[in-house]
Amino acid sequence: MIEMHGLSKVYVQDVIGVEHGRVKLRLLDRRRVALQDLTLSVEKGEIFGLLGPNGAGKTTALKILMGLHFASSGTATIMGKPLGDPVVKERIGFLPENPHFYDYLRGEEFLEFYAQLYGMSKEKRRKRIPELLDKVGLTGSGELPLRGYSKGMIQRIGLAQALLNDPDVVFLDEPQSGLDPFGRKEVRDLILALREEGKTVFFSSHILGDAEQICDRVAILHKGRPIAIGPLSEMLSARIKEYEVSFTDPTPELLAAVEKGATRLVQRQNEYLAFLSDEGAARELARELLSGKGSLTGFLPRKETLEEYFIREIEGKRQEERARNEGVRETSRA
Amino acid sequence: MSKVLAIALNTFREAVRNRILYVLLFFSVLILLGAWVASTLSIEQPERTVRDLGVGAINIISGLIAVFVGIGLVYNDLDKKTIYTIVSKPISRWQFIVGKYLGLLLTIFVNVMIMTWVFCVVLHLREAFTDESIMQALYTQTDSGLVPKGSGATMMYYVTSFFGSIFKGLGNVLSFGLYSTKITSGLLFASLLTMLEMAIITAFAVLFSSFSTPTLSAFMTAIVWIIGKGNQDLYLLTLSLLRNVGGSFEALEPSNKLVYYFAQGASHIAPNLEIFNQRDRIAMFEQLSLDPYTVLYGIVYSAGVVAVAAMIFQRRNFK
Repeated sequence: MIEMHGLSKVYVQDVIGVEHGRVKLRLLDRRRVALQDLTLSVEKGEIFGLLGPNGAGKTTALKILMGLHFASSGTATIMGKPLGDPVVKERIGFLPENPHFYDYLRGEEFLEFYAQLYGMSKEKRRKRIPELLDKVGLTGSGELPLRGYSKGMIQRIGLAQALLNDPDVVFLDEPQSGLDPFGRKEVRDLILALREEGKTVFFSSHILGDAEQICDRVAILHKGRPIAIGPLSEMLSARIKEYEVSFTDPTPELLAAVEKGATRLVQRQNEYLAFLSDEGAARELARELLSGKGSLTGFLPRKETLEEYFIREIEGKRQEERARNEGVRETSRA
Repeated sequence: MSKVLAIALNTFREAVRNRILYVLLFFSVLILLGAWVASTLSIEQPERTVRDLGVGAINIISGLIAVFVGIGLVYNDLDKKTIYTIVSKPISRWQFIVGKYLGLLLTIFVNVMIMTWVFCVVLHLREAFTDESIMQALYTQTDSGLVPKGSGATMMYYVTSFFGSIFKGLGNVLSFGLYSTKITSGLLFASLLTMLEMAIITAFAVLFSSFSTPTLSAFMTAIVWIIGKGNQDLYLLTLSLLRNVGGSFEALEPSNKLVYYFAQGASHIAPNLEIFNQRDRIAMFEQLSLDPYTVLYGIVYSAGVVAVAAMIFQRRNFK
């Protein structure tokens, strides 16, 4: 559905620019690599997450796919056709990060205008717009001007414009950024509903918890380079990472034993939370609590989360870079 | 084409909801009324003064609208990133630029028509309130001299003159000058020429706005406008420079050579906007006919500038 081969983007920065609020003169080294050699493919009907810290190149990749930026090298196709092909544009939807729309328009006027860009007939528009407003939870708000919309409402009307043409592929850039937990859940549910409808969703995010819940596959970018691509199930080790045992009212002897045996012990008001890496030790602790040496309130085997995987990978890369830099310094000193 | 039209109409809607437009329109009404007041100070040919000032005011305010509304339109889309969702729709970048341009042109056209209407109303009112007209309307000539018709007639005269002027002005504008009296003759023609001039200025505003900041765009568009207005003078300057030294370029002083080069270059590159200025002839109530070459020049020049804007826009990365 989406193919990228060696996609790269190098920006040449202005000679005079503003950086951190200061005017900066750049005469040398004006090149900034935003994306380097990204190769991946997204299958029909899957939810693909492009993940990475800020400045990793996620938005650049999306901008290239949407024809907003031109790649410095590499190729990409959507639905087997080159980027910018009118047929492709008819079949995709896009919601940019922190979108800003014509705020002098009312919600309905806004969708009406965008529907005209798809060449939609008046009849179709009349049917589709209320449908979409309902789908994104903005029924009754179509009469309000966009300048009166909250951030969450803007995000929703943005989603509505991305779905106007009932697209086959939906591109979402940080769709949950800046939303409260309710808003994030709604967006998450909407993305899942799109998959149910057979649509392909390609989205970028740095909210890993949400990505973990909905993505079939992910790619992790760091400084413009992909450092991991694959299905989440393969990426996150299936083995149990540790056991969380929570309990209250332990006997002093049991507490002393847990302090010794657990990798970590956390006290929250009158409840204790023990982290144990050994399954046998965790089971033994649970047995003792059940036999009257305290009261067991929870027992949770925990797998590695995407966030932990992400931090491990990124940290690994950072350490490699540090070591490489130090090596270079040593060599130059020698 | 329907997509270009959608962009154009949305641009028009954006401009109509822009406060700066109303500020400029308010000023235009003040200036047109000011032209009336100024004409009362003119001892000779007050009609010429009021028409000259009025046509000039419409031209300048239209230019200000083109510069101040035009420069922000494309830039705002880039700055606020509204362009992202538009370009990802099945629409070409050139369609976006052409749509923006046509929308702005429509805005200026509507404003020029409103200003022309206000100006026609001012002229009709002015005619109704001359001493001669008031005497005729409010006094009856009898054997014993002039007798006033009464206060009711006075009130009636003022009310009918006011509303009559408004409707007569509307008639002048909506009939595109086919219905016109002597005092409003040629005004719609002047407005049409102003529109052709604005087609070029707007094209430059869109061109500059497509790659630079609003302040710089405003500055550059204003420069083009000023050079365009003085284009013929610049050309004459080059001739007079040469004439002063006996026609030999080599005999020019180095500083004058520089002036010569600048004047030559500017007069060839910048549009010649003076061909759209028929103010003097209109003020003198001369009969005018539309020169097809003038119309063609306006259309071809502005189409060329919009084409350049579209080409620049076609290859740029949106930040």
